Amino acid sequence: MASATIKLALDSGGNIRIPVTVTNPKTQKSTTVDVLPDTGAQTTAIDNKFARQIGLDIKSGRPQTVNGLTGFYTHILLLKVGNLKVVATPVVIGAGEYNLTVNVIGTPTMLQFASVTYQKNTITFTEATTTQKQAAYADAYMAAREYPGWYNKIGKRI
Amino acid sequence: MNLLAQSFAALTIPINWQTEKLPYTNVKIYNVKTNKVGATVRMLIDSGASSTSLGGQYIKPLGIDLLKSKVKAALISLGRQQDAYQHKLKMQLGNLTPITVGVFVREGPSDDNIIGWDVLNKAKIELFGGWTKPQLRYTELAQAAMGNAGAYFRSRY
Repeated sequence: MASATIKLALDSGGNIRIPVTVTNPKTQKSTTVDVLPDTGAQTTAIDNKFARQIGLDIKSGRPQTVNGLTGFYTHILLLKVGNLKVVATPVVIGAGEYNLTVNVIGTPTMLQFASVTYQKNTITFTEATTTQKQAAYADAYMAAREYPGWYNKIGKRI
Repeated sequence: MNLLAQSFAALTIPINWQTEKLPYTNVKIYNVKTNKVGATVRMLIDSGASSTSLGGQYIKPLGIDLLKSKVKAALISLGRQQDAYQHKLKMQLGNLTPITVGVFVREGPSDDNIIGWDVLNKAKIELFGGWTKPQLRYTELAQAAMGNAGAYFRSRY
C-alpha cells in the first residue's frame, strides 16, 4: 500500500502542523494549507480565507453548528496528503461572522486512510484500499446534498 | 541484546463511532512524591493539544495544593478560558508503564481531561480500522525515551 511520511512542524504555540492540498471539486482550484492533524477533533475545518482562494461559495454548504454557534457550513472537499490519492471529506468553514482560524484534520478524516502513524516527529499516512469507494460515496452525498449522518451511512455500507 | 527484536507494550483503544468518534482511555493518576493513588480519569488522546491537562477536582484527593505551583497558564477550551497550574504527576494508561508528566491542572472542575502532544510525542500513535472498526494504538517506546516526558516539566518548572 502506498504511504507518505511527512515531518511534523511545530508552530509558535507548540502545535504540530503538516501541509495538505485542498481542492474544490467544482472549480478544481487548489491551495496548500498547513493543518493540525488532530486526534482530538471530530471535524475537519479550514480558515475561510483558504475556502475563498479555491472559489468556494461557503453559504451553499450544509449549515453547521460549532460549539453552539451558527454561521458555519460543511462542504465536501478533496484533500491530498503527499503523493497519495485524494480523499473526499467533509470540511467545516465559517461564513464570515465567525471563522475558524485553526486548520484541522480530525479523526474521522484520518480514518479514511488505512492508518495514520505519529512517531518521532513524523506522521505517516497509508492509503486505504477503500478510499476510492469512500470518496465515491462522499461525492454521491455531496451531489444529493444529503450530508446528515453520512459518516454512519458510509460506515455501514463499506 | 538485539534492539531490533525488542518489542514494547501497547494499548489499543477502540473509538466509539456512535457517540463522540474520538479516542478516550482510562488513566490512573498518582502523586509522584507519595505514590498515593488518585482517581482513574477518562482522558482524550489529543494530538491537537500541545500540553496535558486535567480537571481541578482530581488533585485534592492526591494531597496536592493546586496553587502551590510555579507555572500558571490560561487554558482555552470551547471558547472558555480557565487558569491552570502545572504539577508533576504520575500517569498510567491502561497497564502500561507509569510515566511522570507535567500536567496543567485546571482551577475548577472540568471534564476536559487531555493527554497532549507533550506526552504523545514520546510514544508511537496509530489510528486505523476505518469507519467500521476505528481504533487508536498507543505504543510505549524505549523506557529511556518515555522518561523524557518529564523533561518537558523540568524545562518549564
